[in-house]
Amino acid sequence: MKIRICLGTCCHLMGGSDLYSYFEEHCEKNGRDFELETPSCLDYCNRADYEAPIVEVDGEIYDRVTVEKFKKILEQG
Amino acid sequence: MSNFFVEVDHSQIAKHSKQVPGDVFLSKKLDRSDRIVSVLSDGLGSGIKANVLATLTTTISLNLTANSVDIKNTAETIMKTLPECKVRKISYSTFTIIDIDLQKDRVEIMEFDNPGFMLFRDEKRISLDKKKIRMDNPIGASQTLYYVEFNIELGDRLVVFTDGISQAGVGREDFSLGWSEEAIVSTVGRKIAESVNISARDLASFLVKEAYKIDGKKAKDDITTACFYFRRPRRTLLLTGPPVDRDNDYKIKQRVDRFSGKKIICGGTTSNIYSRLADEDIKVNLNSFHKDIPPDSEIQGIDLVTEGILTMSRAIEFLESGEPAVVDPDHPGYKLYDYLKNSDYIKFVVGTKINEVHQNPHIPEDLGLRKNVVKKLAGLLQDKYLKKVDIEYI
Ligand code: FES
Repeated sequence: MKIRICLGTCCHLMGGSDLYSYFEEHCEKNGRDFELETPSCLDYCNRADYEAPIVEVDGEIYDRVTVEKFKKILEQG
Repeated sequence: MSNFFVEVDHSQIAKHSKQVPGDVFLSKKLDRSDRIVSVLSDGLGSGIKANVLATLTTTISLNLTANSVDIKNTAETIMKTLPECKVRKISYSTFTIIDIDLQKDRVEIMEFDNPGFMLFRDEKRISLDKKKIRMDNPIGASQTLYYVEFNIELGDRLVVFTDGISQAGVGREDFSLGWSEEAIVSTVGRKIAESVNISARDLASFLVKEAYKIDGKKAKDDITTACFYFRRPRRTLLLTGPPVDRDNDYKIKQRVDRFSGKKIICGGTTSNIYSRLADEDIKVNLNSFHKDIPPDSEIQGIDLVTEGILTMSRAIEFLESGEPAVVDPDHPGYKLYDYLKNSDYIKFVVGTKINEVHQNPHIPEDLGLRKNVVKKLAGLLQDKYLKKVDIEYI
């Protein structure tokens, strides 16, 4: 599973850092095959139809990702 | 811009059992110009009274020199106003005035009653012809001052001290006349040869500690040394923000390529642009992850790559507070602060494309425009840290 948690200014401020902390604590060590990237801007923060924080999972973009939402995405994936 | 940057610092140990030293050193960079005026004074006696006399002398000399064109006039005025001891007919304080003009790469020095300054070019002491000047003090006693002017060369070091250095060890059999001039010259020369890049602060504190040791770790007088180190300025380029016009993106790489010195990029989009143009990967440095700001990254050829506004704002906080409360060397804001603090000249290249962060209704207003953050940062570096700063908008 390829995960990209945006840690650009906008996403970081809007909760991206919580997503990264959550990932670090819960996902990294549970044996599942995760590939993580933390780009410094995925270029969605400036688009009216998206709202930070942005996460990309296996090529699919999710916006307004809360920790709850993030959990669900990871479970489904 | 001058080819030189002058590092000025001093070190001091007060006379044994005295709380307050009677030697005072003051230095001032004149408002955004290339002139630095410094004064070292030793007040007669020791303790608080000596300190008051020396403070008066340094403050007045500094202000007079700063406001006048001629160091000799300053000296004359001071000689006329210095109180003197009626019994010993000597003035109550000594002074050495150092007037550095970096636009002309020239130094003028006026000495009164302090041990003679020393100029080192590499580890060798350079002797200069000093002009003897006679001036009367208010009770008519003739006093001798020494005046000299010379051109600075890259790597020069000026060492100025009070008699706490030259009289160190007096009373000891092997130092009956104090610490001789030759011995001081060879001690300083050896130290410079050993550590060729030694800072003004370290050299001053080295000399003071040596004298203190000679005094048997009980200073017989106030021991003070000031050092001036004329070196090449440490230059830093800080790029932040994408240009308004995409056609100008190339400027980001061009500015980096043309600059000699440290290179910093603050901003995700800016680093993406650079990475694309330079065809270098960005590697996020997750060790530097801190809750308050995004982590920094690595790009070949760039010394520091960080997020933009939040990181610069943290660096501003650190610079404002002087010494950051939490010194975590991995914190990106601290790294930025550290780079900037250790630079003499900082060139900002600022892209002024409207910041999306600013337009986002969820983001606090006070993060403001990138331009304002940069202005604040640059102002602080210039005014509080006396750095030379340039801002270019692209
Ligand atoms: S900061 Fe996350 S998409 Fe721009």
